[in-house]
Amino acid sequence: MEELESKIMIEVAKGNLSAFREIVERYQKPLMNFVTKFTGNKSMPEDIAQEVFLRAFKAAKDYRPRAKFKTWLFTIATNYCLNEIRDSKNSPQYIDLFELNEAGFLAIAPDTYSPEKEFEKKELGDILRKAIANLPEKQKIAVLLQKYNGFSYEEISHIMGCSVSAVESLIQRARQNLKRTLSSCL
Amino acid sequence: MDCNNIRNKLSAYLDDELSFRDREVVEKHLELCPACAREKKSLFLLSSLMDEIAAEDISPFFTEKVISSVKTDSRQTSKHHSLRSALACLGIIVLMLAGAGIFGSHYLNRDERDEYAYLSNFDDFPPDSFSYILIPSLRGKSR
Ligand SMILES: [Zn+2]
Repeated sequence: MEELESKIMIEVAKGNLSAFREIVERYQKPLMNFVTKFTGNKSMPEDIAQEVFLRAFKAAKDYRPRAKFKTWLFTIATNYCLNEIRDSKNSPQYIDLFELNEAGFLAIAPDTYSPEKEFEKKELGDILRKAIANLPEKQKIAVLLQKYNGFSYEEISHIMGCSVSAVESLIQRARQNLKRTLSSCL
Repeated sequence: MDCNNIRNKLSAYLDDELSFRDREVVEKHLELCPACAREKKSLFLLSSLMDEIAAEDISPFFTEKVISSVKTDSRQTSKHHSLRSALACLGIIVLMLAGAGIFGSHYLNRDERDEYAYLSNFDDFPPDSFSYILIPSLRGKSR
């Protein structure tokens, strides 16, 4: 798979658009997942994902097969999110406590299906999305890369340019913060 | 390890990122400490809730949007390139004209320079020139 991606990237570096289309189709889901949760859907996640792909296309000449392609792509995404999206949303947003208490009635442990339960689950999911979007940026990136993109702590340390133990601590703190926000539900 | 140390390792434990030795230590502690076991359970619940919100919607036209943005971008880049070459050509022309000017001022003899001196002033048109005839106000001008 990685060897195949290296071959595709050599084509992309030459400006081959159908090779690039393949990259976009392979990676749009994980990238959108990352970007949407990073922004909490406040900015336009598709525009951000599009910009990340555009940057990857322009930087294709610099891609070296010794780096896993997915790690390389998410390094571009992480840098973009950290350096350019930050400015547009510097006012912290807080979870509405009333909303949280409303959702606090539900238990999320697996149970028999009921429409009410599905509705509550959806609400709790929305609150969790907000809580993730409001995490401090580095905690958020570390936890998103781990949870939704399947990166190991070591890979995340390469992407974020920090040590593995720093990643461990970021993820632990992120989860503590999320748990605190959702404390009435967990 | 005390409870604090164990709790700091719980995320890594759940993510299967601990060394074999640390893993054993954590598991032993969890068997004996109900408070840390509760903490582990709530982190596990959080993790399964996070799994539930995994998927995000993507518009079916996303790929096309990306491809056309790449095309637009490379068109703009090549426009920049052609603009740059056009500017370079213009630069060369300006240099040639300037060179001709220097040539003129140095190599035309004094009489010829006097003869064309009026051309340096836009308001001046030689009598009987086309502009002189067509623009009556020019004729009223004292020369
Ligand atoms: Zn304990």
